[in-house]
Amino acid sequence: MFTHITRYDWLLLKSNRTLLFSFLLLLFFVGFALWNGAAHVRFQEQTAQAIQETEAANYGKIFQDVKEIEQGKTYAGVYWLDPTTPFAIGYSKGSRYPVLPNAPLSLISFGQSDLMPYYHQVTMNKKQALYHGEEIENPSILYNGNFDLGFVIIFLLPLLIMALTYNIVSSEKEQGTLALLLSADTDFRRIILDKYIFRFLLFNATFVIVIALGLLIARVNLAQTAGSLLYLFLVTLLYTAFWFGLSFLVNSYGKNSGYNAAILVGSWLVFALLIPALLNVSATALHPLPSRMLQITKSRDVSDEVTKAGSKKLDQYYNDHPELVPKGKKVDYNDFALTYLQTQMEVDKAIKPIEAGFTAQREKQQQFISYYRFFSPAIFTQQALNAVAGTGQDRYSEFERQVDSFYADFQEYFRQKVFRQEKMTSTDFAQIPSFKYQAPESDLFSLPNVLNLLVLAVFSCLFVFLGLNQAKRISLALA
Amino acid sequence: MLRNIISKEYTELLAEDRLRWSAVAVYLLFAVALFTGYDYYAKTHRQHQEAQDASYRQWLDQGEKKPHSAAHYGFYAYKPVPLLSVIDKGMDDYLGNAVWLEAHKQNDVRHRAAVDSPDLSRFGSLTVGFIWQYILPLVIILLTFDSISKERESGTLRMLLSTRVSGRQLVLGKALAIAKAVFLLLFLPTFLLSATVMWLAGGNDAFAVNLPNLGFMAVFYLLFLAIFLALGVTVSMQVRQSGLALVLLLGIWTFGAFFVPRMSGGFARSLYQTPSAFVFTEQVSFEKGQGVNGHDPADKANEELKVRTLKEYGVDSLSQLPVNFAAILLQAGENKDWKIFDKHYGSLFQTFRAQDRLMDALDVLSPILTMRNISRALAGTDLDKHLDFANHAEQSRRSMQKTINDHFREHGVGDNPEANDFKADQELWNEIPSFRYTMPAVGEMLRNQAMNILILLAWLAGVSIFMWQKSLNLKP
Repeated sequence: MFTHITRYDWLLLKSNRTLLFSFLLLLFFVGFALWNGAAHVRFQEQTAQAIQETEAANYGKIFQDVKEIEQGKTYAGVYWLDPTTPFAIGYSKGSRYPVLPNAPLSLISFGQSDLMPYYHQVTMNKKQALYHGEEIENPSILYNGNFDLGFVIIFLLPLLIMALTYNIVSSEKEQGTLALLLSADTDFRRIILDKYIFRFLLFNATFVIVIALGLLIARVNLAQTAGSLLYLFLVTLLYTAFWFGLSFLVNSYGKNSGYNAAILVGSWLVFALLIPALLNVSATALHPLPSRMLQITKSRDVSDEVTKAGSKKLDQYYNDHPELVPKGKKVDYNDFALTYLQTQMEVDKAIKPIEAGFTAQREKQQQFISYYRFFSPAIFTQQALNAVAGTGQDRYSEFERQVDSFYADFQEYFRQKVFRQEKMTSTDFAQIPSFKYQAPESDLFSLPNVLNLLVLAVFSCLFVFLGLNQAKRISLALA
Repeated sequence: MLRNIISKEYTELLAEDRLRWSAVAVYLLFAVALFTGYDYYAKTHRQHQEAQDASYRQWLDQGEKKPHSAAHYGFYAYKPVPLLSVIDKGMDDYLGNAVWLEAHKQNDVRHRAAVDSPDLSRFGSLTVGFIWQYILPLVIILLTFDSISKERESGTLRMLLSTRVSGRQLVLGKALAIAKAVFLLLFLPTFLLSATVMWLAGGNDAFAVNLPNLGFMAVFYLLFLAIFLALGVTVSMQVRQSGLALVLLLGIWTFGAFFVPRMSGGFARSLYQTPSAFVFTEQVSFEKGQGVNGHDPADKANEELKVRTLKEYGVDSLSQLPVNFAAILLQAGENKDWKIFDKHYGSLFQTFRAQDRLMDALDVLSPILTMRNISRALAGTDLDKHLDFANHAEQSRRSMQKTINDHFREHGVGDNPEANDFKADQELWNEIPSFRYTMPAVGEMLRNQAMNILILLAWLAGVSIFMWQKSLNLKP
């Protein structure tokens, strides 16, 4: 029976060109999205490469300079750029640039990648300077959002599905063929459901093929990313099942096409726009972040205080850290590096609670959202796609954490040098900490992610079940 | 006759479920949006103002200091939050808020709120502007899509047209009835409530200043809603099946609201490329490293400046100068850097503007987007105002540096000017005014939006004329 119905549905779709039109649209959507995503990824990779080359070149240069000075060449420049001082290296010449590498499938979803920093300049400068790193991007483009595969899946696929299915029952009614179907041997519900299943399978098969082709063209290694791709296809399959199911349910009430279309677009608006917006409002209202402005004011207050206290604070610091007292010479209190660093350490210390406030509140917001994410499939599908692409909030938070701890190591290394008032020697350079992002063990098929899939599956089944139940009431009287 | 049609249609509309349910949805969303708008303004406005005052107080209280140390210390400029952000927050979340005014550097305006927001905020935020731009057109679509076609489908159109009623009267009457309902029940109350909340949030003075912008906003929103009204009625007239008419209208709505902006962003990004922050900074600091930099006495250009200065004052050595040479060097460095900043930031901002022009041009495809652009411009929450702020802040930084260096040059004179031990005090700090930014007047905003306003008017004229023409020969 299924093959029978599908054959005629296929002929029907073919004859009214819906299929061709939808297919072309889908092709365009996916093509444009992958092109857009690939361009973005390429830009970020080029930037990352430029950064790494610059860092290597800078280090090569200072190493060479120090070597030459050690061999007896006199340094002619200004004292604050003298490469044999830890200050010059730690504050400018020896900047390290931690970079977050792209995940293999990052082109499928921009996620937060256009907003969150994917590289930092780490110097001994106060930690706050870290948070000043923002990538240049036209705010209008940031505001508009991006045309990526995530957008296609979450926003456009449901609309395509609606266009394909909003009138499966109602058109029969409007053409006057409903009576015919109802009086046929085969259960009317069976015919409708088969039509849905056929269109669902056709839709997803097309989608998978188009994406696989697109990724091949974008030179993504499909074998290497098989696990992520499998999750991507499963999410998409179930997400589209949700919308097919919803459309089936709406159709099963036997109302006219206009009504169906209005209800479907209405639910799209609610799921894809209003619920996320309301959840966002609630998360930020319930767990407000401290003010960045307050943070700036506070850090300057502290820095002023330390400056005014002068060498008293420094003395105290040396008393607390006898191991850092320069060996065999007196402390030079006029050393600019020393006072500067001292001030910064105090500022970092004072800012810490505010910084912790940001982290804690942000975590609470994310937890809140994660807890209520099942209110809208658009929300957790977006999160799932970001997880596949490695562009989600989690990954950026992890990067920030690693940069923070790297910053601490970097500062610690130079702090000892500055307080001991030692010189940089050519043998020191190998010991300067460097950064490499350690990807945490990630499992796309973790419990919350599997739960996402389950919820979608449950809702789809529920819609079909309710729809089948409802469709019983479509009778000849209605037709 | 027209009056009768309007009154009949209006009464019928009021009895309809779809108007009632639309109104419930609109008011629920509106309540949330207005509250968030108020909360955002009240909090951020106060924070920015307090931070601005605190920053200036720190500047005044910095005590005796070498002038150049003070120049490095500088202070912050915080972008004031416009009162109309209560209604339309526009792009504010994606625009920076604070910029440090210090020596040698034109800093970026940093701290975009979006970076500190949950990733969910990328779905868009709920503002009063959003409701007027996106939801009200949707409501109008729901009310108009079958306005004519249902008469046709039920066969009453043939009957109506056989009476004294002309097609034109019928179409106009229906359109005006829906206009009346949307205006009286949805737009006017939300507008008045928003205005009241604005007044509560900003107080008399700020409200009065923003009144012209608010007035123009109301006018443009009404024109905008009229576009959708005419569009809906026309489609209902032309498409014979109500269902199809609705699908078509919803298609137009989603296409404009969601498809175009993301697509145009992708085009803009690839046609006009902005550099990465890293490359930008590297280039600026590379160019700054060439020639006079105010700090590096080993520099060749410094030598020339020294010779020139000595000649100007007719003395043989720096110690004989009646002014401080280090200050002259510093200012020369600033002057040179300004050119570099102007070049790089100038070209960056130009790229932004070129991207925006392209996106604005593509926004022609939907009046929703054009309205969005006009609305956020009038609210002062668009990119134009942001770049204007950035320019003002930079100008203020430059005049601050000049005042400091001039003071240093005149007062830092002693036996050995190169020691530069002169310390400035309160007198100099007071000479530098705190940073105040005021938005451009409404006239300038309208001039900047001339293109978008024209597009909006063209849309209105286009669909109205089309509706008018088609209503003349309305067939059953």
